[in-house]
Amino acid sequence: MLFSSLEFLVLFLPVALGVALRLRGQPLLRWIALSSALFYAFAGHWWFVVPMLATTALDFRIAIMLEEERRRRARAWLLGVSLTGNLGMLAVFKYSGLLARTARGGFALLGIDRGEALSGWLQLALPAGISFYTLQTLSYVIDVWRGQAPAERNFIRFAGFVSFFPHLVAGPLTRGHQLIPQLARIAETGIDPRWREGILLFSVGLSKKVLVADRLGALVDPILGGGSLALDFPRAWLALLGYGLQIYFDFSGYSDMAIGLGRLFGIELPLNFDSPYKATSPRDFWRRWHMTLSFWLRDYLYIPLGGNRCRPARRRFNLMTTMALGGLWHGASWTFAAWGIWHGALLVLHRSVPAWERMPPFWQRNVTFFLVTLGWVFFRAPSFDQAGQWLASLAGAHGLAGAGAPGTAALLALVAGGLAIVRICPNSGELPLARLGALPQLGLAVATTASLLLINAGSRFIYFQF
Amino acid sequence: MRPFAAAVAVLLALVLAVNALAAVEARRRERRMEEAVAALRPGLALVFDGYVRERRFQELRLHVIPRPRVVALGSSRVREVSSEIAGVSPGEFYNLAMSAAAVEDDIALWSVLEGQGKVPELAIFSIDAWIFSAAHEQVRWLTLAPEVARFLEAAGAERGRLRQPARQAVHLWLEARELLSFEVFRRSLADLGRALPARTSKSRDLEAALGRDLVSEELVGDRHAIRSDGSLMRPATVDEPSTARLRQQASSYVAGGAYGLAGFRWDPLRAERLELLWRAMRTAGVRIVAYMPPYQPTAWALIEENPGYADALRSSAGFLRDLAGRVGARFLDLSDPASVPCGEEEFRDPDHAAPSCLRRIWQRLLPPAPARP
Repeated sequence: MLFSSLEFLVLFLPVALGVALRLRGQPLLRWIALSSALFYAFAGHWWFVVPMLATTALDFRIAIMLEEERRRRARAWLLGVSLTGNLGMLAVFKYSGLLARTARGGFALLGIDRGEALSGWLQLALPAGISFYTLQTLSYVIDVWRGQAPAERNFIRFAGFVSFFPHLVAGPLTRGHQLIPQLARIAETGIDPRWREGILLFSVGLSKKVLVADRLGALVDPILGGGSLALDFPRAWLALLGYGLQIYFDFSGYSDMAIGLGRLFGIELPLNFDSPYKATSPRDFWRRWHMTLSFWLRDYLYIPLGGNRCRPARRRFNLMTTMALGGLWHGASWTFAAWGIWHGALLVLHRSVPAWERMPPFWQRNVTFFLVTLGWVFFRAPSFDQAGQWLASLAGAHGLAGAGAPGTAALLALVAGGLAIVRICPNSGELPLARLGALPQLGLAVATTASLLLINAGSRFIYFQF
Repeated sequence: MRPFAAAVAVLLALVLAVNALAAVEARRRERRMEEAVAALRPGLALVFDGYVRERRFQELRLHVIPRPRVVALGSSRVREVSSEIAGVSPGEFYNLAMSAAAVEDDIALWSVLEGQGKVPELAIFSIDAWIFSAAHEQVRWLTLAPEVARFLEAAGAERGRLRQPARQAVHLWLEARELLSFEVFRRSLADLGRALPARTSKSRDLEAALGRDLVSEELVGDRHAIRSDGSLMRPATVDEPSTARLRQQASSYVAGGAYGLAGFRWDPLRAERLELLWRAMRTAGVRIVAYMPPYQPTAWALIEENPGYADALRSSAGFLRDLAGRVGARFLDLSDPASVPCGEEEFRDPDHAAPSCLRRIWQRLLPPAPARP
């Protein structure tokens, strides 16, 4: 079940919210956990709930034991169990296919056929959102281990933190200290929905997703999904710009919907996008793009590796490692690791080139946008061969003149419109939703109605299986 | 927030009103279709603008046609096969195919045929791999759910007392959500646009309406129509797509998931239901020939490049080959257009063969009887 589906909007949400509004205390928390589990079961297979429950139970128990345990070695063991359990589950469900494919390739190089033996690992279904809730529970356990957060003693409240459906399948990644106290508050006082801000922000997100991202996808996918990415110069660039905008509108639209839904339940989820295409440097980009993930990687990977407090060579290594793993988190393919390494290299480059800071902000923005956009090649191309073809196409190696393929004019118009929005307009976090004028409201109403009509066609979120 | 809420409410009410009006108009047209179905004779065709409830049409039609000797079952990919293309004498052939037909659709139509005592000698199944995918939504058959339930109950395969009410609830919901669909809204506007002049004309009586709906096959012209043998006639004036256009469509088609091949997940329930159907048909003495229809060559090449899509086709063909062996049917995997063979231009689009290709397929399925000395 997607937020942008009639089943969610007409059947699930009114019931989930309607019942929640009448409850308080433990029954409210139980209802939030139950309805979230139901939502999750309908997001894919019913069994998706099983690994989520296992993670929830494991980390709930380990956090309490960590808080009670004083011996250093025992605490390290407990943390190790949590890390092994969480990362092990992620490795099995998400990365076993990649490892099996890589092993098969390695064996093939040696002339050994191990395809049959590895085939089982290639077909494991990936539970939606496993990457998100794994990082959330990991950060919670690490915070308790560091003594930075108390262990939650109420299992239902903890289950609500892990499974709260607005952020469950695609974020924003929420920390325990951000969500658990809010759950405790609504359990005590009952839900006080922020109707206006919730509904309007949800509508903005829905419109971004359905009217822009899905339309872009319908025009970009035929260009990029045909196998070969040997494209003529104009189409290669149009597809790249179109994809860069599609992924932004798709994911930020989803985040807006999630935050809007949170507000309907009286919960404030963290901001996830802050006009990333207005960034003036790669570093600035990562402070604005998928912010909750960037901050997670900084706090739980980059800083523990040594962060900035080490020699320059080690710092560069820390950056590259963090970004490569961050890239791999996005998908089980080496092309995602390459995307992460590309961004790691951009961050290193930015730090090592003092001239960057001397550039006028206009050029800083454009150079950053260009480099970030170029990186999407690795994110979108299914293989390195195709990424190579696409990069060559971008350099004009497959012809400079466009053949005027159908849909080109529409794509050009959408790209131009999208670029104008991301570079000029305020983002949804900056919109004054609490005092939005009548005219913008009418415009949003037309966009929302059009989106409601169009969502019957059905579509998937790009980040859905992460 | 009042302007926002009021505007959304008014706009949604407008959409619902247009769709509801169009639904009333569609019911009126359907009543006309019911009359026309009975009057449809060889040489005539039932013309329709836009949408026609195919499942209802076929169900009604089966009540009035004589017992066919050969029937075709499957999706829109076999919809154009007429008695002429099949090489079967008129009156002996009937095409039961429907767009996006699932196993359950075939079950329902078989159930009606059997109930009417019109068991054919030979059934030709055109089978798409997506019918075996649990990831591919297959819901149109719910229109015929009671027939399916009857068959499954008789076969002892209907599990759970809540199945039928659950199906009805799902069907009701799916019909309700249609009222809020862009595609339906667009179609409704077009339907109402066509209906308005008809309402103002003087010829509102049934005879005149039938005169508009039922025409000689030669007079169909630029409209869609259904022949008396159930086959589909496409508008004569539509230009055949160029090879370049077909290649482009093929690439978009495969990129878009190759209609049900993306995320293919084997559905044992549907496989089991197909086996039940074939066993029931074989018990009734029906010979079965099944095939997987060809893709346009560019689409086929791209599908072969995609391991997931190629696996979906291979596993479906493997199952069908085994099943055919178990029940005494014949199966041909013709997914590769070279196996027919069909050329690049012998397709309407990436997965719909043009009549010349369909004719060649059916020659493979029904080889002409050897001439007697």
